[in-house]
Amino acid sequence: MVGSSAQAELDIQKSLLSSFSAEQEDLKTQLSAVNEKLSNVKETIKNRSSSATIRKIDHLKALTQLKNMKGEGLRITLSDNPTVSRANFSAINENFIQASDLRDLVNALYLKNATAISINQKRISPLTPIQPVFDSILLGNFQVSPPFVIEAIGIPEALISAASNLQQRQIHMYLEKINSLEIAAAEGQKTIKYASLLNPKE
Amino acid sequence: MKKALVITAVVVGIFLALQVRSFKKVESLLQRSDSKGVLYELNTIRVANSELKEEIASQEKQLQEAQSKMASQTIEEELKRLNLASGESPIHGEGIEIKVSNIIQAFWVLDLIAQLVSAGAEAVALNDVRLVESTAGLREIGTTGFVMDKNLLKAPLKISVIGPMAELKRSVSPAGGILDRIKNNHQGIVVEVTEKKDITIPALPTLYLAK
Repeated sequence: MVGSSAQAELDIQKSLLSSFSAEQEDLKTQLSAVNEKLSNVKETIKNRSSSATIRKIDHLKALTQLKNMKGEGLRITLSDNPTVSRANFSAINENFIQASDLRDLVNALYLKNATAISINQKRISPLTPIQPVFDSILLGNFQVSPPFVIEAIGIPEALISAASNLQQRQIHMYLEKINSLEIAAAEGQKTIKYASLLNPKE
Repeated sequence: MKKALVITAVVVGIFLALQVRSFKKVESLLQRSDSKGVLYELNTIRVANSELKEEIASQEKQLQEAQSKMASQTIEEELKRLNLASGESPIHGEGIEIKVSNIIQAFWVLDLIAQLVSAGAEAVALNDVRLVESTAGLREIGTTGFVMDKNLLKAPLKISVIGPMAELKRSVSPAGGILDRIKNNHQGIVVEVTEKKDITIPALPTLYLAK
């Protein structure tokens, strides 16, 4: 009886999880659509501005991950150990890629002077939270699952050494040097409610 | 007979060493994992979806405004938004300040920052160096300090965070949470968290602003 009650609870949790995940897929599509419209409108307005303003905006966009970046770099594909399955909720196991692995890898890539990083095509910034949820990982507000494809722009030979720590884990890693990599801009900008400019005229 | 015993002892020794190594790896993963429970995790996804909805609403509002306002006003607001996030200008606002007395492994600081950003941190600085893409990359150098790009950060480490102060403090303070785990893994360490109504994060030096 206790067993069937626990099973019922697990079924409810799984059903909630799958409905949240389905809702998220829908939200991602909506966000992409509105982001594209907004970018086009802003681009049209920007192009009517003076060349100094255009340069200023482009410069600030590059600093805030809102601009596509191109260059040579490295693609790292990480997959769980294929002999095990993360189908259950608890995935703290050295055979699975953990949120902390991705956090450490992003930090190591920055230490090797990566100038832009994405995970599963989502642009990452140093303030993108990477946290575990069930058997997947939340990147900012986006739920992603393995395999994880991490792309970084920088000197490939230097970036390769950033991945060396993960070689000790029981997971699969595939590295590719890429001559011409393009990492898309972040989709939209986080709304800022608490911070304000110290000298608002700047 | 004696030879067989020696071989068995060696094999058992290797097996035990491998087990200890494997146990240490799993232990290290567990130390960094917060056992938050299923409901907490379900709530995390619910909150993520709510934030996505807010983001969509905010972009729709911006779109409407951009289409109805004067172009110059739209540009001015866009410049202000970008300026706030870029690190080019000093910023201020409510938040918390965390002081860590000793040098710890860099991953603990990264885990702490991830927790703070999940709770709404909008800007973070370590010893007054703002964390942005051009300054990112943190490693400890022995007991001397941390290197954050070209900056040497000496102990005590001051982490300034702008965002909702009560939520930020709550997110790092629960029993078994990130601050507890840092304290449990570092004997004698002192970690202080202070809510502040106004924290200033300085602008970055120009060398970080070329891109």
